[in-house]
Amino acid sequence: MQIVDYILNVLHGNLGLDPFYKVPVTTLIGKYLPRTLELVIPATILSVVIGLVTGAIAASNRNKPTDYFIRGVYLVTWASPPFFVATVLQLVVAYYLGLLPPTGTVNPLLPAPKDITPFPILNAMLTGDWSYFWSLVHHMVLPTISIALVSFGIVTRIARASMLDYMESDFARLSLMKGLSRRKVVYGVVLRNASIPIVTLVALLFGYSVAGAVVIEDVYDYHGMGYFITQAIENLDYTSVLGTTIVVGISIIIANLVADILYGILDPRVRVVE
Amino acid sequence: MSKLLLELKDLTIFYKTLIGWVKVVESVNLSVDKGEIVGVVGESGSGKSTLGNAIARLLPPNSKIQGDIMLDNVNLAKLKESQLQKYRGTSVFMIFQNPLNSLNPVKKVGPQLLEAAKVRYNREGKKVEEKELVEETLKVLKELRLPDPQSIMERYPHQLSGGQVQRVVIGMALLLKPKLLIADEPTSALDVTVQAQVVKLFRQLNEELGTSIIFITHDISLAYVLSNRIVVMYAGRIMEDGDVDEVLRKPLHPYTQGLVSSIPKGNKSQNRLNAIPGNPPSFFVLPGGCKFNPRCNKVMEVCKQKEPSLVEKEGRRVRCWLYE
Amino acid sequence: MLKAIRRDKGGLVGLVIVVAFLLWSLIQGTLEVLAGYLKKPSLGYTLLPHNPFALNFQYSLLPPSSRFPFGTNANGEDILSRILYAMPRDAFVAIVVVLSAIAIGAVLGIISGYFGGIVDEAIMRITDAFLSLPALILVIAITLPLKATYLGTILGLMVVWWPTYARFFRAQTLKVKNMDFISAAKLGNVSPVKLFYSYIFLNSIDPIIAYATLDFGNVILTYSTLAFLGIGISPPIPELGEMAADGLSGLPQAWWWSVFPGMTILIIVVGFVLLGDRLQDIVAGRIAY
Repeated sequence: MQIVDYILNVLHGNLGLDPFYKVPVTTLIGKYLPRTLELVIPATILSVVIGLVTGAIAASNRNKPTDYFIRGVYLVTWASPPFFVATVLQLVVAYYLGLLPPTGTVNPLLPAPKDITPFPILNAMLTGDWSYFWSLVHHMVLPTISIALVSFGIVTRIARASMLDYMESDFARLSLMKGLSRRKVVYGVVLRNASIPIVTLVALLFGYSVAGAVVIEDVYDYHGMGYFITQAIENLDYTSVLGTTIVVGISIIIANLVADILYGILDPRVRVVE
Repeated sequence: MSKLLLELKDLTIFYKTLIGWVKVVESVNLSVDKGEIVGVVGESGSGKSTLGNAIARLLPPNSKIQGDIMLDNVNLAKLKESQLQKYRGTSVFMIFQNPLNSLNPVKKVGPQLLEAAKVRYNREGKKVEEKELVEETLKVLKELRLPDPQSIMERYPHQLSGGQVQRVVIGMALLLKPKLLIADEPTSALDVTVQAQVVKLFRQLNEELGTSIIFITHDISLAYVLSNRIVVMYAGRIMEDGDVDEVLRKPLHPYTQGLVSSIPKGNKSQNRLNAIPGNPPSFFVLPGGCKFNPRCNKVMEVCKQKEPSLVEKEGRRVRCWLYE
Repeated sequence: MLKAIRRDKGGLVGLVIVVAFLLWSLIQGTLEVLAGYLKKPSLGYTLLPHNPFALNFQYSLLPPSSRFPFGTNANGEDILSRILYAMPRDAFVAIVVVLSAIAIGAVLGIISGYFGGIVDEAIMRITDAFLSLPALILVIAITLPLKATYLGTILGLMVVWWPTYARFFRAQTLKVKNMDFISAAKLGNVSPVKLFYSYIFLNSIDPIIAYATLDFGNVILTYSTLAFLGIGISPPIPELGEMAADGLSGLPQAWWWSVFPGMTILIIVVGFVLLGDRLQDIVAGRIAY
């Protein structure tokens, strides 16, 4: 009967009490989830952009060195454990080159701006606290790029395949026949069409990115959902993990909705007839 | 000024397959005069579409061509992809079989037509206002008897019927005014009534702009209605080439005879269609000698041994041992 | 088939990596099991350059050298030996999870496709749910009440891994269901079990092998990521992901501690992906064999 109670509670928006901190799980998720979303949302967009561009370049240079190079790169990043990509980036960019901070969420010496929204970066912007804002951005860059790196491969793969399909299509051939330049046909006509199936990937990609973020945050000691889950695992805190799973599920449903809306905007064939 | 527009010299086309390079078109020699309409007729797999695509240089990457494609003293066969652009559109234009795939599905019809008009003005070195382009495009759509041209321009391709799209594509040709138009089975996907209207538009295009047309079809009666000349292809080779009336009245090659006798005559005394028995050969296993010999009703011993060449006969060309 | 793989460099590299990994896992795994059974731990590292559990603080955090090719960790343990010792456990997870996923997926997929209706609807909604949530988070949620042990993690992976295969077998069933020879077989009084075995299962073997090869890599990737988070490990037995996590404390000076275990996973997964991709090309008829 415990499970019935739990489900009833969940339906009322109550995910239970964290046994370790003795605070509601929703409160903790409310604190950590926005920080992870600040990484995952830009990372999802970034991986779509990287994937589309590399997919298009690979397709238009089919079976040439550029194509093999791009396929090699996405093979390696795709087959990499997320923590490995993060570790290598951290070593090279943060430790050896010293370009960005290797760990942390924000400079701990800076006072946090007022909580207007759950998102620290929005709070910093709304209060005009630009030094806090830049510190956040500095700490976000490497985790975001790491997440994008482990997930862009699937976009490249699908974009490349659908570009190759569309390049043989009659409308691409007719566009060439009209006397348009090859560049215009590939990047205007074909890429525009090939980007439509990518949109359906957005929700999947978002899920990938969330899973990647959990691990990557650990490497960068960034205090988001990854930190929260790692703590929960160490304490064998089942309530928090279950609550997290439910929240991740909900956010993926939302990502699906966003993908559907984008699809409608990009493809005139599914638009409602005025 | 010579009358010759296009001359194919020993044009041979290969496809790369699992077992290596396979010849699908073998040494085609063909010339097309200015203002001429040539119907290229053959069954599916005869290499007629491949030939059309080769002239437009639109073959897929797994193909290669040998020989020359001389269009107005330019050898299209020897041009690089980047050099082809300036001949596409205004020199050669091509129309495809399936109208549902011919237009970019995510762009409105109007801009797609305007692009064509812009290409021609750019080549002519003229600067024109967007407004004039729109007016010219609307005029063309009206000529094509498309209802409410204004709203057609604002629609997406999926909101038009197959016949309407095919007319829009012919509209592009009217805007580009190409010297040579290659039409690859442009009416096969259309209803018979729409087919007749579209065929009429091709004739109009030919008469008004003097555009030469290579009309590729499997339907010899359709070729008869439109063309001045008929070229019959089989297994990647020209089998017969001559004036449309003569070929229809007195076909020389047994294959052409088969095609002609398969046309329904409409008189009741002959209500049986004479289809040619058998199937066209696969390019992987072409028969020795004359490629048509296994299906030919006048086959002789020599047909199985040696392939005949294309010879002049009664002002036409024919590839058959009966005439050598 | 082997000939077609050999002609392609990528496929060949994949084949070599996969064979080396599986062969090593078989030999080393047998030794480890024997060592435990005979209570003679030294048997477990006869083939390794060093004892992977030797605490030698005098050798703490040594960089890669001819003696310790991948360096040592804070305890002075040889990282290469620990990597080699950890491999059989990854191979075992991958094989058990993929095989069970094929079995569960085949049963549920065929039931779903054959009966249709509510059964089909229910099974497909479950696969939808599983496929849209990240496997990593699902497995964490399932294994945590099982105390996140090695076997509990395998169980968790088994629970979430079958949906892709169920989809595949459902599609295959639908394709075969409407073919004439199935009706003919029905008229001929062939038992339905035999029917499915011979027409659906045997027809599916080639594409399944190709996909499963790729999937071995996915399982290893997910398992090592779980191990990185501290799930499915049994200390002191080393695990690749766990070693990479431990190694973070040595950054940036002792980079080898975290980087080499991570790179090992990468190479193994690349091997499976290269080989699997190649097999898929061959099965799809994109390449002659």
